[in-house]
Amino acid sequence: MDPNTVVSIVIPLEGDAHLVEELVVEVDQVIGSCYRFFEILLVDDGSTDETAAKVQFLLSRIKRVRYLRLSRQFGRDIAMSAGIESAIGDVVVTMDPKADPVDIIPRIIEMCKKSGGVVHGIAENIQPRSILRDCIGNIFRNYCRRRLGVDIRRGVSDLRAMSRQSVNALLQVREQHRYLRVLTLMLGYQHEFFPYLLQPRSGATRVTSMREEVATAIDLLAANTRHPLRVVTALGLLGACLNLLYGGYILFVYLTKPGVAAGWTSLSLQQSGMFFFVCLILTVLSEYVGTILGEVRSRPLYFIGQEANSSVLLEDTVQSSIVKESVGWESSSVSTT
Amino acid sequence: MNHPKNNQIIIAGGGFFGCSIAMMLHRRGWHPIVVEEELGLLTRASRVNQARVHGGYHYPRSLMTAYRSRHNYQRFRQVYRNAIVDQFTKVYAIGNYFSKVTANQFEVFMKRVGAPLREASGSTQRLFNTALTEKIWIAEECAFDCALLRDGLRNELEQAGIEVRVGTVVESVHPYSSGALARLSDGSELACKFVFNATYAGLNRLTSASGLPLIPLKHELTEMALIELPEELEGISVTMMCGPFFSFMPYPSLDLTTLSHVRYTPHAHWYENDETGAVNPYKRLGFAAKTSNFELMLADSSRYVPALRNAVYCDSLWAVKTLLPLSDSDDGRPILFQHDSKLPALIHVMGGKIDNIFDVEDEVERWVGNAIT
Repeated sequence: MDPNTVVSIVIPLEGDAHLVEELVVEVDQVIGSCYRFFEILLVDDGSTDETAAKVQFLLSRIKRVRYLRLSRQFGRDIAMSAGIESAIGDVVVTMDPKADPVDIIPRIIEMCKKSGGVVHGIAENIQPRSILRDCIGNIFRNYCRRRLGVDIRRGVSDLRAMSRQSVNALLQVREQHRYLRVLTLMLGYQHEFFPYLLQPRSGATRVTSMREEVATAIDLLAANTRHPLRVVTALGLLGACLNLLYGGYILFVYLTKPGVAAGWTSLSLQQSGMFFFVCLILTVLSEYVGTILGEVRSRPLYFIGQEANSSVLLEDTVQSSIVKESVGWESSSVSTT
Repeated sequence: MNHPKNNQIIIAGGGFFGCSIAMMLHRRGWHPIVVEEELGLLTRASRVNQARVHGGYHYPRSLMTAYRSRHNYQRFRQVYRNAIVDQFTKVYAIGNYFSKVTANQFEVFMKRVGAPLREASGSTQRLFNTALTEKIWIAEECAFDCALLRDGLRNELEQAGIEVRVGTVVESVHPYSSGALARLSDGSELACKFVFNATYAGLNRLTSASGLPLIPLKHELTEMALIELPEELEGISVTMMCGPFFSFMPYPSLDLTTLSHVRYTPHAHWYENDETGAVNPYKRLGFAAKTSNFELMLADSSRYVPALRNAVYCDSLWAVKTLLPLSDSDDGRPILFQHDSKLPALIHVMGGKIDNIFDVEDEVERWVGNAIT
């Protein structure tokens, strides 16, 4: 363990006045015993309780505390992003003040330093959910694994340690949608998962409703993958084809079957014709929307993981600067008259 | 007690301001005596600073301060040209996050003030982390060698025949028939027309010992790191504005570079006024635990200029920086020039920027004028 690593601990606060003092003192003790240079970054996400007053008191008692108060409530991920953008450490740790334990932080910092990537905390004792929710969750995670190419694990939390190079990559992503649990995975670099147990403070538990989770899932997919749009394209083309075939069937019936009801043919042809066009239009639009999504994305196409150059000892390839003739090969065909 | 002279003026404090004021008074026919606590001149605040001659780039939100600063810059360069060091590239940069000013605002403002900004070369631009830096420019600003400044002033004082008492303190000032009576720590009592209190952080030592009301001041315990720049940064100085402010500049008298950061340079601050009472700030400086914040300064500044990682830490300069509480609310750094409310013959002078000395001369002219011969 290198005590000279500079460490930043980012803690988003949201109505946490009752636990902030105890938490900051604990973080100061645990981190201070392992590292000489660190900062505790408290990001106040529009708290309306006495968080500000409590923090002012802490600022005069504990060294290395920084306080950022956002102008209104923006959401936990945005608050954490603000903290990460302002953090100076070689390793940046984010945590949930309501339930994440502090004593394991030095271990994930060391893991992060070794890998040079991101260490994600996996909470093993999350609240048990209904079987239905679990099922849907699994399907969603599998879908993400296939379509987004990221390995979302069940129980992944906001406790994570990021190396400076992965933070620098994150800083280049200027997108509005910031679901850090997935965004950090999409940066690349090496990912490790650290299972731990949640320790809720002051009986505070964070409960996310099913609706919120579904909304987040949909936002995530819409922002990151074109696959659903491709499905729409495929369905549109399929619909168009089917309508075309149906149109053919209508004509066939009209020409071969006796006793077709008056008006049925024209009505059916009109319907299938309109649906054919609608499907085609949907197909084309979905492709263009997909392209717009790709162009509007404000993140780099790639991040460099490592750069290395040749370093071969050159022997005796230094040419003398003497020449034996005053003309070169090419100019022998030039004539001057 | 020596016989009262009509044109004797005592100057408490042998820093840049104290010595310069002595010369101003001498030129107007007065007989100044400089009294300095340390054994040499210009040893405290005049020596421990970033040695920057302000070019007006530091106040992108206060037009008058910036304009005045630029004006003083030209004059300072001219008057103290022997001590000026300008053989380096001065780069100003605006950060992307948390900046109080945008690149565009900065450019427009500097054009208005007359402070030149040029496009930086590709190699200079590559030194910066583009994700965190909005824009960079080459500016016109220089540094001064405080040792040469000190020697220059000392010679001037010698040639003018001005008496300088080192290792001595003006302990108290009292009303007297000629104007004021100054009691010094060497036991002497000098009658004079005026006493200039140019002791910077120690302003209130004099007021409290003389039974006068304290001047409200704010003190900061500041650290400036002294480093050796890596090869890629040789000859370059960077100032990052305007939220995440940090700066590294050459420090000619030691042939090193100073690194200063708005968040990590001040270690602590305290106020001094009639309620809190006077505390000798130099004693506090002596007793304060001095654990360097260099690693933190480096961690933040190297996010913007990665090459700084290879800088070598040599030492830190510690000082008490004194500010007027009114500059808490705005960017301006005015000079205090105040006749004491109870004892008008005592004049307090306190300024935070060396290149503002010319403003002091205007005040000396107005309030003290020429000696009556």
